[in-house]
Amino acid sequence: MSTLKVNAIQSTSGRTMGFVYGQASYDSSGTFVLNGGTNCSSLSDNGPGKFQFNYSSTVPNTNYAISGAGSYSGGTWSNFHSHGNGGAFYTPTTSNFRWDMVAYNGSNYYDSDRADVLAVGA
Amino acid sequence: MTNYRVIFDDPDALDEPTKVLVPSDSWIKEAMEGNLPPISVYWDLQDDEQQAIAEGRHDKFEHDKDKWERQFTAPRIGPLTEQEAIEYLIMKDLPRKCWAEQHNRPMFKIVTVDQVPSDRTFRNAWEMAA
Repeated sequence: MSTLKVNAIQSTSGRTMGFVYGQASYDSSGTFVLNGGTNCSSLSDNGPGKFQFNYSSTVPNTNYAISGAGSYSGGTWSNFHSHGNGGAFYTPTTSNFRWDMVAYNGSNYYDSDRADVLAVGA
Repeated sequence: MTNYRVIFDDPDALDEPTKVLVPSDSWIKEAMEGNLPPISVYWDLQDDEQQAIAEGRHDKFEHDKDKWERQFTAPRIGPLTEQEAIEYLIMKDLPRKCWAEQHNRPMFKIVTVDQVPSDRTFRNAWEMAA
């Protein structure tokens, strides 16, 4: 297998493209299962609906965006609150970031039987 | 698939429920194949970032390029056992205060997955057993 190593990706018109800094898919509805990920050394289960992503390789800067989605069997969808952890703001670092999953129709923190999280930077 | 988990408390947030670190299988595989740099490479980067936070210049923080690339260019430390990989992961991903400072009780424990409750009804009340 070959490894592609680049410092930047640019379109032919000169626009710089972003990189996936990290990604993970998990189930936190029972025994926590990390289904898979990219540049992810571990996830922390910090409480119901509260999580932390730890990068395998430190990312080059803090200029990145994070997003995610989750669902719970029975049809409850959870809102993804980036940079949160129990309602408090958590500054993302080049080693990790945190997020909350909150029920779309309330303020309760929810675990998900399928959730995904993604960080993209440049 | 690794059966190890690390349960821990953050010394700076002892009111929060006990946390559970879940290792990535692909990262454990990389560690066991000997593809990791010395842990000091990560600590140097963490120290630089902590300094930037302390000096109020973290908003647009960017690592020094040469230092950042050492993650990929530094000589590899060689294959680790699964247990050694978990110890390395603790020193990389847990708050340093958990394992580098003395407390009046253990701040983390390495456990197996069957020792972590699967019923999350009272997840907010989880505490590390003595």
